[in-house]
Amino acid sequence: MNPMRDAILQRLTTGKPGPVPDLPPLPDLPHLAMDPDELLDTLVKHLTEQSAEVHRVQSDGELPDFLAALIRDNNFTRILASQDPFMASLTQELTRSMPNLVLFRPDDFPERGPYKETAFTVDAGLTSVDYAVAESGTLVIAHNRTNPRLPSLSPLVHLAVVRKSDVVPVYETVLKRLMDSGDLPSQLTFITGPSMTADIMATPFRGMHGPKRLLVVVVDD
Amino acid sequence: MDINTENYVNEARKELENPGSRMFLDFFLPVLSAVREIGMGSFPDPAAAVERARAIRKKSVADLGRLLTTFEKNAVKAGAKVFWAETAHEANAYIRDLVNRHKIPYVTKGKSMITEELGLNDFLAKNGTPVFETDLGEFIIQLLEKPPFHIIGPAINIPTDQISRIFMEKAGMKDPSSDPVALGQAARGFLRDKFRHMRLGITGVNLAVAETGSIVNVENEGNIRFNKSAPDIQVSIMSLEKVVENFDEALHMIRVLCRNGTGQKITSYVTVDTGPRKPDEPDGPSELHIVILDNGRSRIYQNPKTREVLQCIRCGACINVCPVFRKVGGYPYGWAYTGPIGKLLNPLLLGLDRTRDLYGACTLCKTCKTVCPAGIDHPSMILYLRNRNMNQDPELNGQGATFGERLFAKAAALSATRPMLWNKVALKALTVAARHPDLGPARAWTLKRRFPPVAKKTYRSLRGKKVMP
Amino acid sequence: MTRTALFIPCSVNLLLPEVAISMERVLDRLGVHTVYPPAQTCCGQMVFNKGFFDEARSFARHFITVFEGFDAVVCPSGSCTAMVKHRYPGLFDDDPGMKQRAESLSGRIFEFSQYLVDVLSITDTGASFHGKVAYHESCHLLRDLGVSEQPKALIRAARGTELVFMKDADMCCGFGGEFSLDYPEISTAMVEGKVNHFLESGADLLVLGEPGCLLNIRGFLDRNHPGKTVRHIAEFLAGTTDPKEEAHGH
Repeated sequence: MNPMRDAILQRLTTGKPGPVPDLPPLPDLPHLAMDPDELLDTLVKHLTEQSAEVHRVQSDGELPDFLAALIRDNNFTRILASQDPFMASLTQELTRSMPNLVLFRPDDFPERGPYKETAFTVDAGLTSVDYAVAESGTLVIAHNRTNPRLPSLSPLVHLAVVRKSDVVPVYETVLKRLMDSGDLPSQLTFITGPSMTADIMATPFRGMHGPKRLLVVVVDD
Repeated sequence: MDINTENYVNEARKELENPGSRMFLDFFLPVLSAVREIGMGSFPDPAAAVERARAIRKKSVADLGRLLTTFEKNAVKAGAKVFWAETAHEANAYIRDLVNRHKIPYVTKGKSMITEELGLNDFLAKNGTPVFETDLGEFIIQLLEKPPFHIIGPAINIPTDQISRIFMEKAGMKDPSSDPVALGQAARGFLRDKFRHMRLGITGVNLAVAETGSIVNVENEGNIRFNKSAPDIQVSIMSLEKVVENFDEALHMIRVLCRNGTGQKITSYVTVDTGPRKPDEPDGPSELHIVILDNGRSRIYQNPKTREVLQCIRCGACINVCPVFRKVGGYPYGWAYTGPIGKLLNPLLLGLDRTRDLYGACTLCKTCKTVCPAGIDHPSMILYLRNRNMNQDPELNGQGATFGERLFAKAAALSATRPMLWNKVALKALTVAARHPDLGPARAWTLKRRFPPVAKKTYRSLRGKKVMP
Repeated sequence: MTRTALFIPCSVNLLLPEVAISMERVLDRLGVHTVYPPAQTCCGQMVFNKGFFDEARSFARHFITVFEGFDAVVCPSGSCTAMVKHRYPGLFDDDPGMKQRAESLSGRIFEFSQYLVDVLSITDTGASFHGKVAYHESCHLLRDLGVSEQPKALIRAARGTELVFMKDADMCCGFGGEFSLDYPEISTAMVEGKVNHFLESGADLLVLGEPGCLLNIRGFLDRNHPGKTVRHIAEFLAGTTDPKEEAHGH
């Protein structure tokens, strides 16, 4: 075994142990008491406060046309999309209705190199989310093969589709559900607004390394 | 990072005389404190939130050994490699060996105070491996070879023309600019190129979760995400005290950390890593190395009087409210940690002899303790450090008192128990000494203040006749 | 009958006797009979803050012996009160007997404004001052003893007085005992900031409850803003605080 590890642990465990306090009570966040409609409205409110650009549609059925219009209006010609079942079928429709749109999916790339290069050169990343947390307008993605990391990080625009059923009240709900269903993903990302910094003369601006714009289409299903 | 803790007074003087620094400190720090208050105010019961956070950290430190072994077990189970580094050198060497083994041409890293403590950049540079800081503020001070001005904004006080010049010289910027946004874009472009080809990224760790072996990072820019997700190898270095039991605790600490650091409910990005990528994932590192750093902390742990300093979550709240820091800024602290927490950590890690003015230049106002969400009693520990220094504590490299100091203390203690001696001799001596222009006190005081005149008669002599036992 | 002792810090004894006299006068006016134990010397904060804990214990032993026979001890300094109340017991962690005596005394020592409001339940001391007052919240008084509402209530109760807002009222003035001598440039910058806030507040008078802060701020005012006055709360309540009358120093 590692002698350094043993030496360190020895010092950490042979000292006089301190008392381990109980955790004092903490009032619940109000979101835990909200119903799904309130949660959705709260989510939208916080998304807007956090500088996401929020669009709302009434149902899944409206998504393909709405997204197509959004893509056209913003001149996104090359997009890297996640390919979980929901997004896979959505993007299939998109490519059908927009033949000039160049849309990549992770499975298009047998090698990591070209995948990464594409992630670095597309106009926008289009993803679903696993959860949307009402307490702060935070989108959560549990990364895996079909919903990987770079689409929501590398392009200047992250376009995320959030459905009402994704909405949860607080962060703890996310972790509990993930842990109840099995192991945690290799990476779990909480996204709140676009990339930000104010490191130069305290002047804030967006899009330092991550996306400059976070576009969120919320489905009121 | 060079250790410059012995120059506290000179650096402080320079900053006090620098109008640019004064202006920034006067403007920036109250704003950070104010947004912190607003941020904490978003809790239904802010006081309860602070008490909870303090208890979580106290609990974590009380149980540190077990939490670390649990963390390690779970991290390894998830596929991470865990390396325990007893010293800075061991940690640096481990990373260097990794770099050499994989023939890594250069490395990028996120903002991490612990890597400042390690002097990692210089160590790798000596190995012929360039290290690119990717946090905008850290990138700027790396190019300018300056220490950080403040932990949240390391380069926040640097004028745009300086940044423009150095970016043109070293970051491939073509045309000069005084626009922070344009400068930021230039940095983005330069660093994006580094992310494109990088093969090893280094990050710190804000919190480690024992229950699952996960590490958590918070950031606003996205560079930490790149350091984790663009390369094949990720190295995350954690100081050993950063571990908590489970996600309930971690999530509460994240809420508190973000509100205390920048007033945000949560930063733009929070990433939770549990092991390296799964084999079928197109991005993410295939190797995740977690370095658990000791570098003197287990020794700090062994002393129940200093153990509490390990509760720190590096939120910066104490730094922003310290009235001394508000006047002198970060440069005088001369090493990785500044402000009130720096007054504790730098001496404990570097020795009391090299850091005398850090724990000396404190009015014991207790504002730091009041705001600390981790429950650290900075003033009490500062007093303890002063005592250890006066007593020449060998463990902490105490210097001992000067002859004059020791004489003064002993004479004072002697006369304090003898009222006649105190009133007839000690007070008179003090009166004479205080007024003597060359003995020091008067000169120091009177830079811009009138020296207090001694009353014609002491209260005791005025009242003396009316005494009743 | 309650036996109440006055603990007069050495800074007051030597440099600000009028503060002690004022305190005495106010208590007298309120019918509180006080005793000044002449054997008192000093709380030892000076040597304690430097790190000389052994020497501080000498001070503490003497202090406890002098004062423990009284039912209450009143002091016009937050930091000295805090030293006795909060630091003395810890000095005797290895001496259970002394520790117990220190803890017992802890429960019976009060800062002056705290004594008036919390123990005597008095906010109206008969004081009057016609003008605007700003209040500086001294660090030990505020954050060690938790005393803040009491002095402000006493000020507000004074006839004709308006307590005005002062920015960063709770920020340290830069005295910190030996700090003001060991780090004079920083200390001076801090007191300069404090005085600027006082001037910006529009107050006619600055009132505070800590002799050290008083010396520090007054020192800066006298040199740089001679028309401006700072007073201890005891003096404010005793009544000799009309800035126009006050030209003579002590």
